[in-house]
Amino acid sequence: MGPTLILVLIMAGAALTSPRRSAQAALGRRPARDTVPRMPSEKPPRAAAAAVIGLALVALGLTSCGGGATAEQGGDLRFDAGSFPDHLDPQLSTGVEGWEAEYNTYIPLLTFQHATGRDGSNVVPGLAKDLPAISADGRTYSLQLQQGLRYSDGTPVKASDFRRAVERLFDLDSGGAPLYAGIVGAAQYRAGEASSISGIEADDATGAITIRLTRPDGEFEDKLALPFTAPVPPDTPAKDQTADPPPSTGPYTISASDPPHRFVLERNPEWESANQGLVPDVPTPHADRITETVVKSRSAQTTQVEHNQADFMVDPPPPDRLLEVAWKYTDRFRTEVTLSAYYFWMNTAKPPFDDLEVRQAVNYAVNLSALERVYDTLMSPTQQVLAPGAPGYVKFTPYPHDFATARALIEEAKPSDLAITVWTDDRGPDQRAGAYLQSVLDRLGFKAKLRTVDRARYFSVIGDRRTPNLDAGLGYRIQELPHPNDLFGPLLNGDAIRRTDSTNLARFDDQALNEEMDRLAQQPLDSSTEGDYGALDQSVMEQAPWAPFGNREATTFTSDRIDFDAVIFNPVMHHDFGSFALD
Amino acid sequence: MARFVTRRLVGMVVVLFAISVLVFLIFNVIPGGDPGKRICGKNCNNALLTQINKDWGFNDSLPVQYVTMMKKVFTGELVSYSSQLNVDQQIKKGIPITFSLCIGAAVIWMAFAIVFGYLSAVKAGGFTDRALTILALVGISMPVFFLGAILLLYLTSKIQLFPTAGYVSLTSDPVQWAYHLFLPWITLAVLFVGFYSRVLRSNMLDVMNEDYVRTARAKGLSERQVRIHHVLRNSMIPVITLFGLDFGAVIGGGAIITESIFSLNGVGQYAADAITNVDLPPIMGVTLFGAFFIVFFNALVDITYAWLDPRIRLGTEAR
Repeated sequence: MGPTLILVLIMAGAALTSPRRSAQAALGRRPARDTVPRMPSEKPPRAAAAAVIGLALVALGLTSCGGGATAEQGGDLRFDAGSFPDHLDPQLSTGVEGWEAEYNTYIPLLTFQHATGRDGSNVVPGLAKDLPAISADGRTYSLQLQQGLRYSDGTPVKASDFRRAVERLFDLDSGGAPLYAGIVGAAQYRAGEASSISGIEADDATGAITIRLTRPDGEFEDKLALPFTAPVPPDTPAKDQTADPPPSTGPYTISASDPPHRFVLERNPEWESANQGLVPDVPTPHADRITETVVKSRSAQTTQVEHNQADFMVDPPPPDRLLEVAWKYTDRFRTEVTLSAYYFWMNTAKPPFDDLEVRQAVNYAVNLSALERVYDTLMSPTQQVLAPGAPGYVKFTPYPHDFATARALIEEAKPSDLAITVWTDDRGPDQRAGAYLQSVLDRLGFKAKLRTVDRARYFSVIGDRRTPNLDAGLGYRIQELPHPNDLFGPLLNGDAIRRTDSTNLARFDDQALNEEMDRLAQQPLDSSTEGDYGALDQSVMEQAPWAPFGNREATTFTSDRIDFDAVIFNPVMHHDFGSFALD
Repeated sequence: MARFVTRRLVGMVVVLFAISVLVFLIFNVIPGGDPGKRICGKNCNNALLTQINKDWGFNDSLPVQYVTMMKKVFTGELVSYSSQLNVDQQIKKGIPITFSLCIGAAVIWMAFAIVFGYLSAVKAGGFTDRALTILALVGISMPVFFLGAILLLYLTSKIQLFPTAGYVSLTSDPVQWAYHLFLPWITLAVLFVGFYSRVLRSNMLDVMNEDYVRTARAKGLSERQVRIHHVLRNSMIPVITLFGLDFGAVIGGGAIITESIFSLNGVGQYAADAITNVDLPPIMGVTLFGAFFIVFFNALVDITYAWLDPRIRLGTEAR
């Protein structure tokens, strides 16, 4: 067993010392972008060291490498990423790394506007002529596929390809399939009781597509804009196509895929001749070719972008390099707020957090700046449910940090149960955030104990009613859809309190707010419902089931070859690869 | 001899079987290991989870799941739960990188270890010996992740002499291959250089006092001939034995950290990713791959010993 032990130890050591984990140990404060002074340029290399290394190189007969590419508009770009996308198959990919690659390749009937900020959450026509006509009862969606569209291999796009795409989701047991389980006949198709989904009618001759739902779904337009339902040729096998991605309809096609090392996007030969005019809301990209290579070390990625050996890094620079990058490269580095919610939940169903004053006290006591540092400054402070860029978002700060007020509220509430268990997962910053909440509760007079759970099973443990001492803890959600109900529905509606796998961690069950959430969940988004969601956000925070503290931030760091200001960060699909242009 | 070889090969199969069972059990009892839920993702609902458990056979009993997995290992049909990529193909893709790294580093560590060990022994007690001793101890004490990070920081970022990451295959460009692997080789080799040079020095000092060395001198051989042909050669036997085992261990997983630091997508990096994702099929594949090399080199050393020394292969019969 000796060799096994050695191997297991080596593997454990490697996992523990992986760059991603160790990098999260460092903390730092990012200065405001527009006030950052430039750092003095780096010192020249030490002559002696250079000479020694130079001699070694000469002895080996090696030549220097890197760079050298002539900058030209529409040229080849090189991107670095820490990991390969989970899948390069539109029906399977559930991660933003995959969606970034698919945003300009696999175009669904609808798509998210190629824009930064709130506009990026707007749903616009993709392969469909217009936005869907929705029946009065909200259960039937009628769309018209543009006629004359072609896949990158020249195959005509048919209306029935959309139905095939949805069926393929179920054939593949895709993580996206549950989003479309509300289509009439989907359950029967999944169970093998039907050969196709009866709720999708597609007429190849006219391009008409009708989708019937079992009940109204206010998020369904958003769901139609995700790559999950992007049509693929009918002969696409019902198995993962990551190594050989299917032909695409967008301006790019994935011309090479070598998982898990690299993939290449190149211009779709059919785009200009067939699709461009029919899909006006998808802009024609600038670069001819984009190669995304997996470089595990974020530090190495940072160095490559700094030295213009790579044009963009998908991941943020590691914490120990973040300050350096933020200070030195103000003209090509910025942070981007994602549609996400990071919060401390408090169990409203049992003491002491069944008392509103106690929950409000915690909100007042939590210092958002401290938590920003805990998350290596990549956390945009907030005290509300909705994130900037989400429909209905109106900024408000219900509980400005004030420890004296917090203490006064606790004295007034006089909680009887002072022993609290704080739950968190074992990822570096999450663990520190849990420890921070523990310290805040201790300062408020509680006796808090921290329980750390393996990240992989964290939500199953705290979502299980049988787990003892579920008092308070860390919660987070990265939104898949920009629709506000993607947060309110699963996280704050009483319906989401379950015996196991409960997603409403605060066990928040307010009858009036539940009804409002249910009502809004069935409405398509318009200015009126957006306003209602803004009001709902405030109503929920008045009840303070959470102490929200931030929205996770992504970063954009490019080489100086890139027109930095033109880079689009879409709140749903993240970086729009088509917007990267040579400066 | 044939019986001994057969016995060792049977032992090797038994060890590999035990390792596979152990890995399988560990990943089925550790928390968060439920592969169905991991595949199901964040939109998971009961219908999808049930379907996944059925399609992937997670409802079967553990022995049935184990047999199914091992069948897939040997038929090359094992696929990752998270990426659904074929494990055998991924390991095959990583092998040239891992072998390039390990073989290159092994050449460096053996070459430098012999030179340093030899010089240290023949100059025992002198300045060279003390300097090399300090150097060796520094090398042994330097953690791979630290040395790699320092080399990367100074030689790729501050002084841009080497590429920050990546791999160029030997067949496409041998010079770039060596250029890209130079820092990883050094990083991986430094520890072994220190360790082996100390072992060699110690062995040489022992052997120098042997009777046959005195005899060689008495025969009138030059000091250089005595040192190289009699002292060094005999001192190398335990070093070679050690090398056989260490080389197997490095190929079988010892290069994980070096691969991670230098973004080399070898077998070690594949293993590290699989561990992070708690993805059993690649972990099983890589563990068996690593175990095979370790056990194989172990068996090779045993067989070589048996060939050299009849007492080992004949066991009690020899006595």
